[in-house]
Amino acid sequence: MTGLHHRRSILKSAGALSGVLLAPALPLWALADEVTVTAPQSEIDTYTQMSAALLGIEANVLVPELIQDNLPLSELYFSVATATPLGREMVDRLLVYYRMLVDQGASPAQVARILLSGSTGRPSLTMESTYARLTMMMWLYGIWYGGTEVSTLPTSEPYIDPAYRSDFIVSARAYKNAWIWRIAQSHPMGFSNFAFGSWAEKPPTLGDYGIAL
Amino acid sequence: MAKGEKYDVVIVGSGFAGANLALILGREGKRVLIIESGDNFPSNREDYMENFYLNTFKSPNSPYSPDSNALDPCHTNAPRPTIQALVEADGRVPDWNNPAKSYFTYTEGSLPFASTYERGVAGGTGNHWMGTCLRMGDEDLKLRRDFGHGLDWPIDYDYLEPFYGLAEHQIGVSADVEEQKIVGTRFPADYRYPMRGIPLSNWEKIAKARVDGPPLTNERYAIDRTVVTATPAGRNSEPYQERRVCHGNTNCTPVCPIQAKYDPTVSLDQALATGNVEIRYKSVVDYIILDSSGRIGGVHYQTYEDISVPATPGQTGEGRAMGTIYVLAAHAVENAKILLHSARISGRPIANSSDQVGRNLMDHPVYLAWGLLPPDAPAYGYRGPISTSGIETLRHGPFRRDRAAWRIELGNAAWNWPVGDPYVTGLDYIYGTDNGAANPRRAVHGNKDYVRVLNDILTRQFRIGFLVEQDAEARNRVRLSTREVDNLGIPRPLITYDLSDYTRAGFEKAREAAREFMARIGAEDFTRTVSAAENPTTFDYNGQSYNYSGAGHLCGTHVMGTTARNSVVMHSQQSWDHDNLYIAGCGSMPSIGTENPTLTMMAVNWATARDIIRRL
Amino acid sequence: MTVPRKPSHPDSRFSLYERTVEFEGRSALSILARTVFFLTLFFFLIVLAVFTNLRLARADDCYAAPYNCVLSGDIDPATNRSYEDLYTAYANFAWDDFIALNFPALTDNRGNPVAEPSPTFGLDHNGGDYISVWQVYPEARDIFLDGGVRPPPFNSGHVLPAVCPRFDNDGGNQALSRKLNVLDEYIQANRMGPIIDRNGHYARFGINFNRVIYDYIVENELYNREGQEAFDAHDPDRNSSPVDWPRGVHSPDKDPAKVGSVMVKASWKILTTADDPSKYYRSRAYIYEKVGGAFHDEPTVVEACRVEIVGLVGLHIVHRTNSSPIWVWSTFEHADNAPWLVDFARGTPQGKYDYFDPRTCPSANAVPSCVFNDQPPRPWNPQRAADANPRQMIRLAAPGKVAQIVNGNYREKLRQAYPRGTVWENYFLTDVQFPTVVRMVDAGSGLAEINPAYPDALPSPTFLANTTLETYIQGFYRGQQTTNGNLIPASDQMQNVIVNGGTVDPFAVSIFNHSGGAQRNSSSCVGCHGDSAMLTGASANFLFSLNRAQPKN
Repeated sequence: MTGLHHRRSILKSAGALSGVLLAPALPLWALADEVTVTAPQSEIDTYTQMSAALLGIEANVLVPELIQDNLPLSELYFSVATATPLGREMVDRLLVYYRMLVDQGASPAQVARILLSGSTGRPSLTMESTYARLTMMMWLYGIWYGGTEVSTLPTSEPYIDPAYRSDFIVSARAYKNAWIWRIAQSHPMGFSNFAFGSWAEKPPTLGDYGIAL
Repeated sequence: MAKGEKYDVVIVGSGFAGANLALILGREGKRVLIIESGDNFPSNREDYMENFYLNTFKSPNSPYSPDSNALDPCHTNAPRPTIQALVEADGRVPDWNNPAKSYFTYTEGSLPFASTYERGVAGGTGNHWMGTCLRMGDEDLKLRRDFGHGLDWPIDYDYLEPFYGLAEHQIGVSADVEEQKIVGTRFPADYRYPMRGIPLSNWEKIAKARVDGPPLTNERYAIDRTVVTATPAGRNSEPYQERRVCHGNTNCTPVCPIQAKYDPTVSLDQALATGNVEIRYKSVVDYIILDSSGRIGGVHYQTYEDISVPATPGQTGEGRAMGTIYVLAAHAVENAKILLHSARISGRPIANSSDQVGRNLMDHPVYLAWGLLPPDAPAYGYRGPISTSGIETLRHGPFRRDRAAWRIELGNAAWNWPVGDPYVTGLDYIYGTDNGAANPRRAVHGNKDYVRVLNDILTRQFRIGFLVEQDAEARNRVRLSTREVDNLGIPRPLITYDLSDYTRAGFEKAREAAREFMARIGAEDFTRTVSAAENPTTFDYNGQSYNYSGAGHLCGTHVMGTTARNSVVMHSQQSWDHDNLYIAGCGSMPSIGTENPTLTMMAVNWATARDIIRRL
Repeated sequence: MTVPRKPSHPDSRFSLYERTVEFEGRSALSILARTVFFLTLFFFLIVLAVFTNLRLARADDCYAAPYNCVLSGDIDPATNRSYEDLYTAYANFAWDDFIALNFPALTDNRGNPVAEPSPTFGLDHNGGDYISVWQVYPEARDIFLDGGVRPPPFNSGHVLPAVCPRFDNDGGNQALSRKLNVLDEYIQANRMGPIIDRNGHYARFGINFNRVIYDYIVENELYNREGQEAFDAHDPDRNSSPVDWPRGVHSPDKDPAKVGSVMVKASWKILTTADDPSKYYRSRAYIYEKVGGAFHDEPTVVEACRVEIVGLVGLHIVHRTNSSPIWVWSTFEHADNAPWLVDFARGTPQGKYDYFDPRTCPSANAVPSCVFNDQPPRPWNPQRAADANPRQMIRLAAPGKVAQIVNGNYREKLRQAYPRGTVWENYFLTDVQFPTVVRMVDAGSGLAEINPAYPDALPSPTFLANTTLETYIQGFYRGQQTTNGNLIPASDQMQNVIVNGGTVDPFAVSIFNHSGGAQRNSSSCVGCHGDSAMLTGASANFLFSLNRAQPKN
């Protein structure tokens, strides 16, 4: 169904970039038999802390002690963001910048403000902000929004590897754990474990979902 | 059966009409062959669901092959219209009118046809239907006699009534008779739906409490009340046919993950289990063969293997199927295409002495309205079936002399359809844009501000949709393109499409009713219209602009009627011109009222089945 | 919550000791003296027996005679809530259930089996051919009867269709006949299709419920439509289901009253002369085909019944516990069912498999060269030779790492306890699904409730299939493409993590599964069973079988 929503460039999914079994343009983790992360745990943890600041959702809610398949989404999103050498470099710089802000005493809300809109109130155009947004959107939607980032803020283009300048769903697992639906006190369309008739009454609270305002 | 042998019935298409005909005939011990253009339905729904989850463009096409993100109908083996072709723009030429991208081609001055269908999967378009199962009313079937517009059915509601019951039990419809009587539907005294009605959603209950009352416009209606009622639906409220009950996946269209919503593969599965029904997949019937006496002598089909886009190999083989009786059940547009192509090949009209084949193309163009409920009564949408209620009491009445009727569907998926949320507004607050109109200050938020603002907006969103009747007009038609073909060399449709003033006047009143709805519910109205440059499905009327969406209801291309001169088929859907040919589906409907056509089509189909059995 | 009745023990341990006490007729004084002596001895021996029993009522009850192999109620609430520790606890719990359920059933003094573990016979009884405890549980078809009538009492045997042959030496009692399970199902859930073995036989399925479930159904009259309607009477939107299956509680002394609700679903292979029966747990069973199929979906099937010797190839165990309100879902498979997909990278897997023929599916370019895991064409009629098309079945997922470790541990335990071997060494835990997000209510008893925002409790693994019961929904594998051309992303695959190279060994960690899959519509046990409903539409609290209830006549 369609109506008024704005036109988007043709969007591809992770696998549709090529029909061949071994597509060089895909991130390495998608070819491997497991999600391979070659960064130290401390870096992933920093990435998670930064994500928590951006989203306003606690790190131990984004990555709880007990996770399905022991597969933390932080690792998944980190590996997508750092899949190319350029992305790796950008994320490194972003995390360095994030640590600096924290060391300077910035609260999570301040970190988010600085990373997303600098001091202007408009979306910040720095390379760090590009990856902050991309990270935030992966947690929110399970989508890598490289194409939208570039078409909305053309200055971001040099920060993103050409193979990643499109929008794609990271995976069905990412889609099913997308936080925007929990913020809406619902579930991803096409994936609900709620009961018959659950729509007839009020949904669980934000607190139930693990989100504290 | 061995090649060359004749079946009792050859059916083209395994959708609602074809699969159910095959089931009824198979249960009667008839030998049936189905020729299906699409792929086998997979042994499980994981494939469709993964297609859907991974698709960034979650249209009704999105779970089904061929891939609707790749627009290349010339190089697709069984292409069909896509929403992407409707909205994407390749440079300056809008894609809907670009034959390299759009399956449909258009004559000059046409409006874009806003609805799509499926050909690449067994079960056809029924895979992505919503599930709404409203019966048409007496006056819906006599639009010309009673109101001077469109065409009349050759039968009336009393004729259809018992078949409606059969259809409702085959599909498994959840509704309560007493409630449905409120909207004017007539039932036999002891009739019961197979399952209880589905409860209204949280926001629909709010709407009912605030909106029920006088009609929404100052016109004369048969029932002069606005009443929100639960919508009868082919969606389980109790375990039925070994299928699960609805769990509110909010995904009816395009695909119910758990098949709580009926789809034609349920009947196809049952048909195959009788042992009397065979099916050939990836086989596209391109033309009908006449014998020397002018009866149908066979259907010719091409086979293909490659479902990818672009497909490299095209035709892999061909065949000819023969039966005592033939049924075209390939969908309204495809039925017409087959008949017209057969005429082109044979040099004489096939089933078309009336010249009505392809004409009277109709849809339900939809007027969408959306808003935010007040903070003290959030909607909490994005839950439940996509729609569980509607306003049906305003469908009928003397106003139909002046403007097209509509029914109002209340939607549970918040602003997903009209705006593309939660994506658009969610991104608006990251990029400081206002594409969804809910970020007028173009703020950029993060951390708790983001959560707070998005939670507030998303939980208050709601939408309603007016399904506006389109009257049959001979000028709205499907013909064959003389230039464009698909990868199998079959000519693609050439569409001429417009909306009559009658229908446009219906939109005008829909807008008025929507505003009254918003006022009663205390909502902040966010409905807006964009220009044709931004959205090609736009028209003007009486100084105002309207955007229209498609409800997915393609009808009218082989209407039934009283004579061979004014229609293509009899009320049994038998062709006037060839006595061993039936043409089945929504294409037979001379008028479509405001109701989603599937249930009525199923009822008509039942009568067709009885007729075929009687003759065999 | 109903309190399950304490099961009685028909065989008294005391009778053993009584028989060793001899009586001799003497003078009254000596009779009195002897009486006092022997009574004292008697009481001493009773105390000793009780004390010894208490000491024996621990882990070795299943592995050394005299046996007392009862089910556990739950994992230890003190289990550390880390992924590995919790997973290990649940995997051990699954194996303890498997052992206790498959333990030989006690027979009463009329020779009828009762749903209690035998104290005399162990897991090596009769070479693996015996009636197990769970086989005595009523089947779903014994509880939900035509006319919605009350089911027969627990332990009274299975309901026999009239067409099924009775035993010649039955004496009209039919007690022997009623010992056998009646296997009337062969289509997998959601009409996925049958799985056909290399001999051309359909696998047969049966569902059995323990006493706790049986009692809950009977006491609340859930065995007919009217009873379910009455039970769900104050629920207009059908979203406040009253169904709440009793939960097991951790009990260090294995109190049988604390076991909680247990359901099993078994898949069986009909054994022929082409099979080596000594590799399977086996039993006799009725192979029953209802006219039109078990759910009236197979109109070409006529009514038929015969007795066959069947071998167990798969077993689901579902157990509701304090710690897991969403139940604990474990599944076991026979080692010979099929090869693993990942092993094709090392050539064609060799072996005699039940559902796979390597001769017609050699490895080519590290993948199977045949079409595999595809449904047989319809109609699915086990009576017609034309429909007996053996499938090529391949396992997509190895067991998880912890499951493999625990498999190795239990096989070792079995070998040590039963040095001459048991059939049970041929079975492995495929995996166990347990909750990751719940709300702890009482740490002492481990009672946890569902967080309403996460009604499936985000179970781990996300996806779990038994190849004999969910053959066609085993998930996605690496390199697979959807019909729209999407390559399956790694975190959606049943990923195989290669540790030591070599091939998959379910009893050791060489290649294990790091799971994925499309869990909404299929093989997440919890994801699918969460959709179960009563006839009213309200939740059945994870048991589909409530929808089998018929209306009263």
